[in-house]
Amino acid sequence: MTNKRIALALALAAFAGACAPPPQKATYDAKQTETMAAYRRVKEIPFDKANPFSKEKADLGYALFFDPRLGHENSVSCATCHVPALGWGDAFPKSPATLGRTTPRHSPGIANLAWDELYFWDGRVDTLEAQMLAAVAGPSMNTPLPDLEKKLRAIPGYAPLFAKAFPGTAEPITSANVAKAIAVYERTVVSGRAPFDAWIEGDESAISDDAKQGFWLFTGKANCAACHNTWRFTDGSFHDIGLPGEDPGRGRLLTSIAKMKQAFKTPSLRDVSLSAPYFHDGSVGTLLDVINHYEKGGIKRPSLSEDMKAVALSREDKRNLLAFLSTLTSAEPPVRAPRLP
Amino acid sequence: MCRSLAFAAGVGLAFAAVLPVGAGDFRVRQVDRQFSVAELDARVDDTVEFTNDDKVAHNIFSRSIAQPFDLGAQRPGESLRIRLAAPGELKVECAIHPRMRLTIRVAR
Repeated sequence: MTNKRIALALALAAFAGACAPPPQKATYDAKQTETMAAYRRVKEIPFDKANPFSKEKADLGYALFFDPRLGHENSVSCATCHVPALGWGDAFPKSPATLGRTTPRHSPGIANLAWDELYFWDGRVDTLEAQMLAAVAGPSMNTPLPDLEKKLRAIPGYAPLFAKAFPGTAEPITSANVAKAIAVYERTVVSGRAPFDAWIEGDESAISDDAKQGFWLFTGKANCAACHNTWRFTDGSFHDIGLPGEDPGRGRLLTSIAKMKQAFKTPSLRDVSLSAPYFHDGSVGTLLDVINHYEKGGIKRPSLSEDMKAVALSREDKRNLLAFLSTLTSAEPPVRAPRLP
Repeated sequence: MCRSLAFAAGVGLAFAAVLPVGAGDFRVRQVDRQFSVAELDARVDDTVEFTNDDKVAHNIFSRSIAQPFDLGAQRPGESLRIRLAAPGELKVECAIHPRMRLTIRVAR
């Protein structure tokens, strides 16, 4: 390279440096830094030791999850109520069941369940495997488990998939193995990266200043983070948030514990923009309605959560909270249904 | 049904066993939605004091046959005590935060 060319390269480099935007460096105090760190995504999925991950099980579970032949009259799959493009929920206030019936609750999203302790809105089972069997045999899908096995054994394409997923067993097509395969698949369902994650990892331009203000409200005055915390935006806790209605929720299982009457599991807020309507009963259609409910503090009754307190929120506060919530939705494309055996 | 009745009766007994706050034989903190210990070895008539050092409420209870109890809602900063009334193993949980689990082994 000639001296002239070197000089030109140096000049261009200097020019580029002068034109580049100055690196954004936000300053957060120690408490804010600690708060942000608590929302950083984790990398490892915790699979169940009793049902460890294998690609074969996950692939089989992927097919089974989307297969409507598991349900009543071959017409209902898990994905009927847990639609990937709708935040793994559905758009009905209360999910339809078979035989023209309706379930009593809204379909909850099923992403990030590998980290949960209890399943269903009322936490009535403690493994994903049990949850899956209860859903298939219950009103949602209405297939008795012996019938489920008969149906799957009659589909030739499933035999090799089950044999690969559960090698060394004489008859691998059992309802227990269906549950294991779907549970392994479901544990792999993790919400996509959202603009919020980029901000937490240091990209100040990833979300707006309004959204950042919304996050400080969310974790501060508005007290949303009392339950919607960790990177999943839920701690899996159970609360009566003071909605009208008679559904006993977790109180049906823990009958003697006053605070569990009308208590339901805290849902994740990942991809929350996709999963309207909201609450366990699907009773409100927008996130602004949700915020308005929390602003009022819910119906005062003995079971009302101690963490539910009315809070004064200005119009600007609400706008900032909505801006923040919108940053939790990933732009990644939704999971697509597989080719079925 | 019988189990529900037994639990309800036990809850009633346990309320009577909640003692005024003072120096307990064992102290268990609740912090970051966890108990400060996962296991305790104790004896009948020992006391366990539960202190809520979190920013959120808890609700400690046990469905164990040896001594079912429900301490009810416990606000941040509050302390509640139980007296261990019978030998056996107590599985202690928080009704609000199911991840919180503590086992108390109670010897005679």
